[in-house]
Amino acid sequence: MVYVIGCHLTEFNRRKDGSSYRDWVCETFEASLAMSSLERKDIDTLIISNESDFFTFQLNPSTVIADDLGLHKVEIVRVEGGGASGQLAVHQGVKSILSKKSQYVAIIGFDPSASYLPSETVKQLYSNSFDSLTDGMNGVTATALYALSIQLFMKKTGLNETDLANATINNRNNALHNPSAHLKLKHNQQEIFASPVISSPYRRLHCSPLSDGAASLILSNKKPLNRISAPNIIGIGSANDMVNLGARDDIGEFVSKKEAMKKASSMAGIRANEIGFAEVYDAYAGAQFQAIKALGLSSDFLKDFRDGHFSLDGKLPINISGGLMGQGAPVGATGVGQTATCAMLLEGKYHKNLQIKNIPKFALADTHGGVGTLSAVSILKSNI
Amino acid sequence: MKISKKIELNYNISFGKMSKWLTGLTEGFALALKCSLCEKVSFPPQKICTCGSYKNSWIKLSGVAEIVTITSGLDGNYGLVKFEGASTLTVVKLNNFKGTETFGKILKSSSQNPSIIITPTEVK
Repeated sequence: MVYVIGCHLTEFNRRKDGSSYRDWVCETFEASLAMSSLERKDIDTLIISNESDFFTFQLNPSTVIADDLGLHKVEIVRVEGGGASGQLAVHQGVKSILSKKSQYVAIIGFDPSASYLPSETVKQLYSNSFDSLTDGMNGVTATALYALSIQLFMKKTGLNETDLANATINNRNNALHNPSAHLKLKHNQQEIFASPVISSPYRRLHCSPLSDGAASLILSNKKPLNRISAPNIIGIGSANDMVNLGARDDIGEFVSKKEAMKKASSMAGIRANEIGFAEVYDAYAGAQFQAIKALGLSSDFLKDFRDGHFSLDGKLPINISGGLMGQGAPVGATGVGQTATCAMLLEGKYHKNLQIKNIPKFALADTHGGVGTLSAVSILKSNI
Repeated sequence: MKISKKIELNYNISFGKMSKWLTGLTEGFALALKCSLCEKVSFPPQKICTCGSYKNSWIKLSGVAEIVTITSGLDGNYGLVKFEGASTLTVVKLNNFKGTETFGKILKSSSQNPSIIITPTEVK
């Protein structure tokens, strides 16, 4: 069994205080370590995730981080899979424990996506996170590629611009109660419809922000006596789709996510409709709907959304944290943070106004890189 | 404390098998790969076909493409199009499109930035 015995997220925002990603990594690790009641010397494996050395100005960052954390003679692995990096790092940790190679694994995700480089430079770098030979040369942005994909999804499903606006409002409303969130904003539809079009149908307010931040987990192969409510990670799965949108069988659907979910739910031995809440990868307002459909969380996602079932007090709350759109997106930290959020909620330890009272049995953390190109999901189980 | 650090990266990138395709873009024509087994035509070219075959040959497309959907805004104008003769769709940069056009034709792109750019054309 794999237990989450420590978890933490730093604030996700644009840092203006002169702090470094190495400070955020130390902050989140120390908090998770304290929650786990372990000592530093107990950690036998360190797994880190961050998307790009362009962001950090540091090649081979895992070794300097190990030094900063005072971890020596431990196994170190760095995991990178674009936006999915953090969740893939979680998977690596789970595999390390299940293979009995590790007993106590620290997983740390981070990225200084907001404050280290100008946003135009980050945008240019992100063009190369698709196929640098084709999309990179064309200079097409992530927003434009997501926009092309959601247009086909909207034509097929009937999702409309009012739904995109309402999803944005919901997620940012949740973020209002999350002290760690980047965009704690109360929107209305008019504001969203008036915000500039970046790539139709996506407007500025439909986009998740570039954030700075870090998140961490400590996984264990056994449940400590003082943490009997520590949740388990019971299923993991990942899968890919073609990078080139035009080469895909279905451009509007996140096929890789469907496959990843199939693998994770098979490992967990549960069905998608048993999930009680989910943190899904809403890089853009529409991506949340593409994710919910692909993950099989609803047999009629549009009706369920319009009926309020995915809101905080609905039957299947989605993105309680505010999601990427509200909480923010320091890329390498995102998947780790989503899993940490699920773990806290399942243990009844989340932020006061966001904590679900009737804690469900199962939760899902869903992450991807590219436009649903590389998907990674994890299923967690409550022990309350 | 903050410091400003600027580095310049002058890449000298080689493209191997894809060089032929990129050279085609700089000369204003669309080269695609045709699978020798299932005859699927990929543009941009896929080294290995979705049928699993890696045997293929270069073919020259007409360069005319039909618009499937377009996106426009502050990030520029891009489209998903179907090039005549291709089995796959292609993401392209749109040049001088107003949003009502149905077809486009590939444009010659810069030798330092070989890209798939199309401009409106009236006849297929």
